[in-house]
Amino acid sequence: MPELGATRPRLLLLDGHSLAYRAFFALPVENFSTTTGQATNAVYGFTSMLINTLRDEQPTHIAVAFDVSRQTFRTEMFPDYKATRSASPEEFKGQIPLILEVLEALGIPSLQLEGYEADDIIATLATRAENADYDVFILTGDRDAFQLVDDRVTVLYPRKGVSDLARMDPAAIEERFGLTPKQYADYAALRGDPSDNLPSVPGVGEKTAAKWVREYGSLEQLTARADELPGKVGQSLRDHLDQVVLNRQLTELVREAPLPAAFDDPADLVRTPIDRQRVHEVFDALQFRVLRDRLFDSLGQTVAPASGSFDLEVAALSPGEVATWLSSHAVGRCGVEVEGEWGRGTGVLRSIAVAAPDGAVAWMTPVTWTSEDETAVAAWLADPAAPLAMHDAKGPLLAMAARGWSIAGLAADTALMAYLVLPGQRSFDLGDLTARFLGRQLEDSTSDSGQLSFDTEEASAGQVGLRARAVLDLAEVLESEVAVRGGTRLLNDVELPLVSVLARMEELGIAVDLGLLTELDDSFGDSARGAETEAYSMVGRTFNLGSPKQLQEILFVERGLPKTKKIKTGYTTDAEALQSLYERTEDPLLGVLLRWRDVTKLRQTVAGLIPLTDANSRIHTTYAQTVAATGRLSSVDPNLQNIPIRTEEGRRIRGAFVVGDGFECLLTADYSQIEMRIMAHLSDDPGLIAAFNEGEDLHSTVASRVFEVPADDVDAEMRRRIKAMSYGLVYGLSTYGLSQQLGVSTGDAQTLMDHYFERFGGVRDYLSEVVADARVTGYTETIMGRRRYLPDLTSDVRQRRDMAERMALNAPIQGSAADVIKVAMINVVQRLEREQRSSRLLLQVHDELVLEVATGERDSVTTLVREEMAGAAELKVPLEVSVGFGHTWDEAAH
Amino acid sequence: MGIVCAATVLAACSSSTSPSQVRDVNVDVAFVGCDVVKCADTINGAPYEIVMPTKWNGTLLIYSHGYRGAQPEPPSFEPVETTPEPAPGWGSGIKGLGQALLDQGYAIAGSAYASNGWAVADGVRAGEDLHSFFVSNIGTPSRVYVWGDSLGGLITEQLAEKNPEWVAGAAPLCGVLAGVLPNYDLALDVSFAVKTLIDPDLKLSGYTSYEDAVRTLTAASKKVIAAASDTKGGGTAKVIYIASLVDAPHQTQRFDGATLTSKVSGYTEAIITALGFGTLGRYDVERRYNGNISSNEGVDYAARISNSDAELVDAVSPHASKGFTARLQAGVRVVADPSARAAALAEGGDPQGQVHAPTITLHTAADPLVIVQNESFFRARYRVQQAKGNVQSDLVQLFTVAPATYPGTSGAPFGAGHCNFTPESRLAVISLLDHWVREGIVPTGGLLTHALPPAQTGYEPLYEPGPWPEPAAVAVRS
Repeated sequence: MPELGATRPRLLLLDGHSLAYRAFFALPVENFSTTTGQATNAVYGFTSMLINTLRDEQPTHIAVAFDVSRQTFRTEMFPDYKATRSASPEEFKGQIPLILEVLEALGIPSLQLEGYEADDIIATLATRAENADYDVFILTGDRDAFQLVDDRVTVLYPRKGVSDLARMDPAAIEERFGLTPKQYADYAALRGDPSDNLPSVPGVGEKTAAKWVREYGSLEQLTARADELPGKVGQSLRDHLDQVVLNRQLTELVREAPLPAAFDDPADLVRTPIDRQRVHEVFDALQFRVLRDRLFDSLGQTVAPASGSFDLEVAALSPGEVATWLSSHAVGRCGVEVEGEWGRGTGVLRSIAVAAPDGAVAWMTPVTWTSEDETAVAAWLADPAAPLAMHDAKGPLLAMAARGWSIAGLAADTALMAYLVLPGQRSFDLGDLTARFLGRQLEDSTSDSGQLSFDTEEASAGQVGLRARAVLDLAEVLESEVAVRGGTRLLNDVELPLVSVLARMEELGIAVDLGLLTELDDSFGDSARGAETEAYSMVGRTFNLGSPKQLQEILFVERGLPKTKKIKTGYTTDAEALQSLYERTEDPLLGVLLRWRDVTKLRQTVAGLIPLTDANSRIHTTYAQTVAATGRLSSVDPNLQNIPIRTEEGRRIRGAFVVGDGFECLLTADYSQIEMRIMAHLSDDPGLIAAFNEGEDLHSTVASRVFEVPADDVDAEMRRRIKAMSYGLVYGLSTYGLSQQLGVSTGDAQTLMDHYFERFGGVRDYLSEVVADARVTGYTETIMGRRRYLPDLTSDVRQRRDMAERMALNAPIQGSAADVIKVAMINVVQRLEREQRSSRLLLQVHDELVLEVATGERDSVTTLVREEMAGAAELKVPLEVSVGFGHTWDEAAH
Repeated sequence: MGIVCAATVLAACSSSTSPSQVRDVNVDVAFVGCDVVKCADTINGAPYEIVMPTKWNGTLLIYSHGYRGAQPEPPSFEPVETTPEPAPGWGSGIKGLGQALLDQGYAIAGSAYASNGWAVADGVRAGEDLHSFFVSNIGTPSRVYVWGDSLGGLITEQLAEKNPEWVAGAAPLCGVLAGVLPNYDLALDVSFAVKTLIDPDLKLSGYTSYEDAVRTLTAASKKVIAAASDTKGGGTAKVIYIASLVDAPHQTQRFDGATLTSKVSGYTEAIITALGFGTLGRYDVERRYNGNISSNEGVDYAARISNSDAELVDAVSPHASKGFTARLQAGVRVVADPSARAAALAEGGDPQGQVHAPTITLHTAADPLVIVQNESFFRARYRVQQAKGNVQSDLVQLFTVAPATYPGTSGAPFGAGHCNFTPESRLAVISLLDHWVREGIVPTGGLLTHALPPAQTGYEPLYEPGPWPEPAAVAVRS
């Protein structure tokens, strides 16, 4: 970053509305919305352009100008001005206030001025800054700004989308239009501007307009000598001279707009540090994860609270020094940071730093350890009496396990703690948390971030040591943050012990039949090609089945099928739309397309598994413990939680997951209807509790009560409706949603719902209480006290409020289910260890656990798993567990 | 314990996925002891020696020694060496390094090749024979690393490229990694320049006997030494010019190059070393490959002298460099015997850069015999193979740099001189290689400076050798 004062000050001016509009039309709104339904494409695109420009131009001063409304001095002069611009689309509205929130968090001043356009504010500020010897950069999507360009003023104009900016300096204007920037306004007036509804002169296009301005030097000269112009176009100009003169007045930007005092002096626009806490709040709400990282990456050193830096001496331990250092310093809880790589159930440990409570920090690497050194580290880590604080410990645990170490004293994991404190956030970067909670910067601010410093011993030791120290200090702060939120028990009894359970599961992986996977890959490939051939013959030519463009042409033009929902690139051809179109039209091509999509997706799943298989034919997934706000685990590389279970093909894939050598079988155990049971528990509804305690089949029992018929008379349709209703309640389904799902009128759905609640009033009361309570407290809670914060419950945007309400209904139930199965996993693993069983837990797929059962242990392990799963929580209804066995995961299903 | 300050740090900790196998922690692998098996004997004419540790960690280190003269060499004319060398120095009774490796649980093994001289093919065969013998008679190694010095570095790389199925790691040290032809061509450039500028009687090729080669070397060396001190007569400028032609280092083990005198002395040593290569060495290869293997046809000597080279020469003898270049360009070029050249390429060592297993090279920045640019030559070939998808591992190249000054009596502690490494550096390379192979810890960044403390080893992370003096030589054999 250029040093302040070393060069001329650099003022960056942005045209807020024009950029937001650009962004809105450049980014598909369907890809940029929060989970609460707030469209964010304009905010995203604007912020993205802003971050890039801050990074590239390194302005010292900055301001953003916005339009107030359509009523400006221009509309007074020419009422049609901009009248053709369509009203802002629904999704655009409401994004400007969000942009203002972003700017406020970034400490960037913005202004609007009654009666003036953003352009005029920019022209005024640019002129003043230029006079005060600034370099000025104007980021705008409005070409009128080109007239401001000179040696000191550059316009950055989005050429395409939001990332490709043209740098318009005098040379670029000259090259593009053959005109000087001064001539540009003349040219624009002659040419007219359809987007601003400025009429053009008939017969005079861009070329003629530019030619005339070039030839005559200016519009003034041209109009003075209009008589000399020959031919039709000459006459046309003469006929429209008044309009052209008016146009010229309209396109001329005002350079003396009456700015408020705070903007009087460009020096007042000096950049201020960003408010990191506020950026988190705003970006969390907008769910901008990548942008946040980019922002912090590019602005690393301008971030505000860099007050305290770690002044730290890190001892790089020489061979033979480890044991002595550990025994003299590592007394009490230590921060441990590991440098290395991990994933797929294993890892490499390159170096490790330990921050001791006495302030000493040591860095060491296996590369120079003596065997005594290694033994000392391993023994220390394996000592349950040596408490450790780590950040995101699961990966490092894998690297440690690969060295043959185990770790016993994990007492704090700052990533997990932060996850409990900020469940809505998706990434828990140590540097970020350090800045946020400790007000310190993890990385050194004096070195030039543009230069990659050479990674020497000092750099490695310093960096890793610094992180170890940050982890130790953070653990303390986060401990109280967790306690304030009532999460201590959840942290210590569930999330922390789960870390090593998950690490071990990842390390073990699950065996696959590689031959079978390869066969499946071929077979799905054959099916896909079969479907392709069939589709070609139906259409009469070959085409790309995966191309939405070609599909639109074939479906809506050639075959004349009814149009689906309109999207930016025509009409949607997504799976849901094609399915519903198929149901309506029964066009056989649609059937083939849907089949092709299914098998292609399955093939991708299978093809993704093959390269992830290790030398021992096992696949090791990675569980993410801090991603889902509900508390559920997710699985990546590969995702083993989304292998279809209900379809025949999905079951074939599960058939390729097999019991490993030396083991008897796979065992799967899952909770039945766990969410409904939790609902019964939380709502305390006597009817629902009784239904669980008495009934053989929950949905039939509930149906018999709702429909007031004997249980034996409940037919399939009744049961289906009640099942949909029950699960719908768990997910906050509306009357409309229920009607859609059941294929009945909303009236019928409402009646069903009313009947349901007549019988199960406790459920209704509970559901309304959850939302009401959350509105007051700001969060929901699970049975283990896991919170989910839902600030949108009080949003004035209906969409966001509705979505937050649905989340409030679902979060306690789904989150409690997640709590229960996590407890079950820990208890199962601990008891297997206690009883010294060789059987082991391999996978967790939502409500299901998969174990590899050692020969001879089948019965005892079945009992063990049943007891520990059923006993994982004390509910008012029993937790029922069903168990199956088999040679493959599919066979073990039940 | 080194204290470092955490104020100058950057570079994030990585957490990307890079799976590796769980490491082999067995440190007590069974083997048949030397009381039962003949651990020192001869295979196919090559004496070998294997030394087993008390507790074997499963790793076998096969060491390839450097160039040994086929006949006694000037100036001392000591008897030639024929003892097997399971670790550097072992054959001549300096066993500290080997013992340290044994203490760490490694099995060490090495040969004397079936012949002395440019015995690359013999060396490769000896390494392979030794490996087979070990596997058949002593035990099954969990992994085998090949390593070697100088010509042994070339043999090491040839072994690694040829035997990916059993070589798990390689460490060519001060290796002749550009192979036989580029190095002999460079030696010819030196001889050719000495002949053109200093000693018109110098015979470039076709020595009739070993004595003929020795005489040629002795006479030329004297003239070069005389020239070096003849500043007024332009001799010093000639020496500087010739050294510049082949990018010879200005430091050697004896001369730190801190003054012009020291620098010229260093250059002189480098030139005489190259002359030895180009006379005694050439006599050996011409007999081995049946003819002259070197050529300087088409070499553009003008392009070999940079502006700064010329400036230094002209500073010593004004306007001399242009004249020197003109004389070289006009000189009658040497033509190689194509069949000899082909034979040398086939048998004399021509590493292709196909790195199959973790490989660490180590070279002194100032090496007057096997210039450090052998490493950049090898790296360039490695890159070509990498682009073709023919490599299976990273290549880590380490360099040591001498202090700026050192007394000629004790010489450079490291960094200058051929294979002038501290024993600690050699041990560190083996240790780094072992951690890389067994645990997947790729030796980079801070781990290197920690394992090779610069103050004690001369390791310089930022050093990078320049390109091979003759760019046309680098192309990979198709």
